Amino acid sequence: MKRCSLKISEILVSDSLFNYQGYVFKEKRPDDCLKKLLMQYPEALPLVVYTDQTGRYHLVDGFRRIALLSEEKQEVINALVFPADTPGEDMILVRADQDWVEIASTGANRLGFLAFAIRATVDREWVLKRLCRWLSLRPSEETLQMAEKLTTLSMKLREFFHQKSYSAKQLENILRYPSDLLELLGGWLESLQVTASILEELLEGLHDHMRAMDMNVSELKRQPEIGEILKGKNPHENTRRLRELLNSWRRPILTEKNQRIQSMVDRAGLPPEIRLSWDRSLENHQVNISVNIKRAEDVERVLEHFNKQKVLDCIKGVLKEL
Amino acid sequence: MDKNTVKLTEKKGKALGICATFNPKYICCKVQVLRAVKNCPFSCTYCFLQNYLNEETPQVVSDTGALIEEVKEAIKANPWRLFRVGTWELGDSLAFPEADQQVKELIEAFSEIPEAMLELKTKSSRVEHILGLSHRGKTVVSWSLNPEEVVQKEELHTASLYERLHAMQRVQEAGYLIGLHFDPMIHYPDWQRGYTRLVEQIFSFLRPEQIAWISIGSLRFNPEMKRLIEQNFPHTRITLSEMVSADDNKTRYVKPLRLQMYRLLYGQLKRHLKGEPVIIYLCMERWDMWERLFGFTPDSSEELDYLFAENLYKRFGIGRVRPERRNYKVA
Repeated sequence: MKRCSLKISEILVSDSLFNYQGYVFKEKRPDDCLKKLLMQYPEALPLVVYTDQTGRYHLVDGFRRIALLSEEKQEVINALVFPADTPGEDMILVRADQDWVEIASTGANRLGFLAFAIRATVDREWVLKRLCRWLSLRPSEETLQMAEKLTTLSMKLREFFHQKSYSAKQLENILRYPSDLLELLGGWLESLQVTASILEELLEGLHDHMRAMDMNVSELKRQPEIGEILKGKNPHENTRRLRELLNSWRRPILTEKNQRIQSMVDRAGLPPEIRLSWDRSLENHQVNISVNIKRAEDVERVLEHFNKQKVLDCIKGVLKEL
Repeated sequence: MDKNTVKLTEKKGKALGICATFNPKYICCKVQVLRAVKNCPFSCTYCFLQNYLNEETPQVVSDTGALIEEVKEAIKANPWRLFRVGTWELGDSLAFPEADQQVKELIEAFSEIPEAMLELKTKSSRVEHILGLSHRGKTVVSWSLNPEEVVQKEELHTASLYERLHAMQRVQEAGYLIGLHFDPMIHYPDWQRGYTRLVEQIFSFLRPEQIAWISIGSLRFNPEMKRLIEQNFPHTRITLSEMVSADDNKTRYVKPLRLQMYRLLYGQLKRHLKGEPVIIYLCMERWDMWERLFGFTPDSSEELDYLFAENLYKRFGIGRVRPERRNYKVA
């Protein structure tokens, strides 16, 4: 490694092997401090560049610095130059160390950094055995494939995963679904309000429905019920309705049975103080009755309902259905 | 990892215990499992072993004497009860030729233990090596059964239904008692016809009086298994039926569907058993399912354990003494 002055025009920036190119998301920082430091102490903040076999310089560290100096019409810059025989892994480590906090901050960045390392053509075995461990990711070929799949998704979707701070584990669950389904759901995200677990639930529901009906994504997209829901103005309500729709598609027997029980309960005419509930999975054969009375003068009025035949019939009817 | 190379191992730690799926919220038959074999050569799409065993290389315990000693020790502690002992919990009892010697030794040893009986369960048709053994009616050879279309799609590399039935017939002729396990029942578009036909086929090979017991259960798996099944067997559609997650954290068919499936199967079995009092039981279901299907429910898993002993004593004279309910408090 040597320290020297290089012409800015001779350094590959956007085409550098070590440019993240959207694989890792970084915070936008104010430029003023860095600009002042660069102008005042140019020697103190050298770039790091790597020389490839053909003698071209690839920027490794200093992407903001080089952009600021170009804006200032500077032509020459101080740099630490790594020779062509430097292992690519070491250059990846330079980047990892510089940006560690941001890389480690979200699952999208961890996986993105893995994909970035693979794209920078460093040894795949090294990525698997060393980098995965450093990034606290499961060292398996599956993880690498997942990382590569993530980078094939639209920037919008990747940004969403990053901004919502999805963990690597959550992304692993999400990324096993087909890319076209992920993109379809990604396109709906503005109309929905989803956590990682709800997103996973929606993906599973949609994917199972597609498989059960032998349907592709375009056909799924054309389902009128979904279109109707997404037209709604309230993302929270849209999400609730979409979950309900998927549940009714996936669980028609349960949906029908629960509706029947619900109408029995509705017909019993219970006061708001009495709540009759049951396990909607139907697995537990029991009815739960809760009574919530706030004023002493209400006790007789509320409890009197338990003497009514239609209430007793309702309870027995629900038990029979379960 | 290689499923075809079998490793012979020594018995390590306790090999006898209760079924891994035991959950006190569900009624369990309380069979004792003897971990004599780990893994099997087959690839059933629904098999829980794909999410359970760390090592894929099949293992067969070679020091059978140590296994038998452990069974005898357990009997010493509870001499007044009957022990049903199965070797099938983590693998197929008969599929590996490497386990033939172990199987022979177990069958012969159990023939001389009045307080215990052995259950060997398989999806294979490998029975030649057990036909001439002196079993004295103390070994039940069981088959896990499904309609041929399910065998072909979901029970990959196993013996066909016909091969199993043919093997079952040979074992029956050799005087063994037979166990039938309709577990897991699989829901598929033509399941009613499939299971009706299956029962007809079985009883064209089998005499009801030689059946020791019949279990019924349906597909269930841990939530993480769904992903594995879909990943390992992309062709399968078993995860697409209507299912829910239950209290034991297992995903099962919704209750109305299970009940419908059990009712059909139970009805067919009753028809073909022609009054033979074979014990038919549900695996991992709750009291209300028993109540609906059979019109009664054991008050606990221990009671079911006792009912087994009573049935086997009455029908086949198995057991050292007449079973008493009080001896079946703790297995």
